[in-house]
Amino acid sequence: MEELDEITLEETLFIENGECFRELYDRYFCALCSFAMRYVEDRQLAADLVQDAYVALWRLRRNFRSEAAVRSFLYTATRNLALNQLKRNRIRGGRLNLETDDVLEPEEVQSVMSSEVKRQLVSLVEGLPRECRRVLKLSIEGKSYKEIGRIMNIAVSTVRNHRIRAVKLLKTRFRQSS
Amino acid sequence: MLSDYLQWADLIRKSLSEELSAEEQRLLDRWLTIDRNRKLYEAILQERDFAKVWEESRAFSGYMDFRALESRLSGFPSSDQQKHRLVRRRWMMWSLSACAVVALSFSLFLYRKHCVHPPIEHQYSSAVLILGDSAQSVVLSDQAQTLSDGAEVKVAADGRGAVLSYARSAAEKSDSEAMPELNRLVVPRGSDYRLLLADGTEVFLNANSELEYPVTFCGPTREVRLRGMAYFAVTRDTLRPFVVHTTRSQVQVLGTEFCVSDYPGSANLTTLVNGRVAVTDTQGGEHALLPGHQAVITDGTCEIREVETMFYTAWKDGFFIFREASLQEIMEELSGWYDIDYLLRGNGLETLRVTARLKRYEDIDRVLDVLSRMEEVRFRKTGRTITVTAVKTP
Repeated sequence: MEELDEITLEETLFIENGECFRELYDRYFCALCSFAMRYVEDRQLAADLVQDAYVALWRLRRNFRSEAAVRSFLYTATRNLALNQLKRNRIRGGRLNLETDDVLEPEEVQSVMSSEVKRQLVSLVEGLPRECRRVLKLSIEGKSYKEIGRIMNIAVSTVRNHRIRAVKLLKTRFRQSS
Repeated sequence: MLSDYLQWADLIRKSLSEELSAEEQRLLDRWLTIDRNRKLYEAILQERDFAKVWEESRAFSGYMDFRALESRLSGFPSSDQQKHRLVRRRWMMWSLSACAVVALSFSLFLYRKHCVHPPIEHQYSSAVLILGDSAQSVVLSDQAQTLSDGAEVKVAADGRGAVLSYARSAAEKSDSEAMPELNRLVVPRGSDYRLLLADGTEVFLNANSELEYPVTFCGPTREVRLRGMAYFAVTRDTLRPFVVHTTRSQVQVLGTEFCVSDYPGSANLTTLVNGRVAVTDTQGGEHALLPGHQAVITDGTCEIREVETMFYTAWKDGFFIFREASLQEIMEELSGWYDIDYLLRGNGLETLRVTARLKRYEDIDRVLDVLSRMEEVRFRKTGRTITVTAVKTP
């Protein structure tokens, strides 16, 4: 990795290969599904909508230069596809009600944000050593070091050490991604 | 909008894992002074029960079906090559955002070395329609479809692919009070699309182009905005001129056929097939064109020359026509149509001139087969990159 840092290529396309696209799929699929569930009740339908969003992403892959842009595209596309779906259902049900709302409702905002926060938390905790992971989970849930010590039956100083180690590991991992 | 919320989500996640920098902490604190935001924040914190978060995330992993998705992606490196796939390494993803360019170009290099190449094909009639000024978008294919809104827009497929058409606006009122909704049609590289506007004007959009237009035309002029290349067959209406805006020009017409091309890095071209148009450059200079004339704008200055229009409009009829063209020009043209990159290698390529008339075959191989009849060059496909090498002749 390090030896590559010197190479700079401007304007290289972002989602150039299948590998990278696959990774984006693995990263966001579940979060997008849980976001889609805000609109549709059915899990399979939510998953189908998210698949459609990825198909659109692939078509437009050349237009993205950063993961942040991809991410907002995916959430936006999922939302639009879900809204379209709702509209279709309503038409079918005889109640034609086409409010095309470009502004996100407060509940939608919360849903986008919480899906994304949760997605990051899950990926954050994954791959950490077991003890670190447990400490981190509990502390994210809002427990104090003392409580964690009691739950895990370890000394507070050990809790603190695990926590510090966890953050350190995360920092090296996330340093570049934000 | 949505992307802002996602950025706040990033900060909230960081605050939970205690990774906020001092600056980020300040930003978040300031954001939280607003009542609505604080409520949002608290609601999100309520949901951080890890067991539940975990369960929720797990619930969907069962629905992940990359193979099914893959079969719907045109031009995706196919799964036959999975055995050649590199072991996915975590670092690759971590480096994705910041070091994306470096890491990806490298992994791309490795990847391409290992795989059998999928065909490179032009995807007829594939585009994205963006409705209004929102992010609401519809993916269009060559299949007929009815777009839900108002049923005034529909995609009809004929032998030549799909046409997106808008209902002829009956009310030709010239009151400019109501701003009609703007739509934007985005055609990616490697594709093209046809469009019938509300005034009956037909537009052919070339690959890597974008057109913004109102769903109905009201007001004294009919105005559209173009990025990339398009061929217009404008319905005659002497009372309401049709105006095409590009970054470097403004083309005003009453009813006629012409082609406009505005790609960054190339000259801005307006080629008139018949009728009359007036081209205005960014400095306000106005130039009237006659059929067979072409306005060339480079660095803000406009020059008029006479051309064989066929060379500039053949694309919309499904042909590549090259006359005394350099390989660079040819590859540039193929690059947009098939969504490929290219490299020119070796001496003598610059001086080579090619005259050819080729069908715009769906698969690039057929085009390359024809071009390969030239003894001086060899074409090699590596993924989506075509390398053109000069062959040494004794």
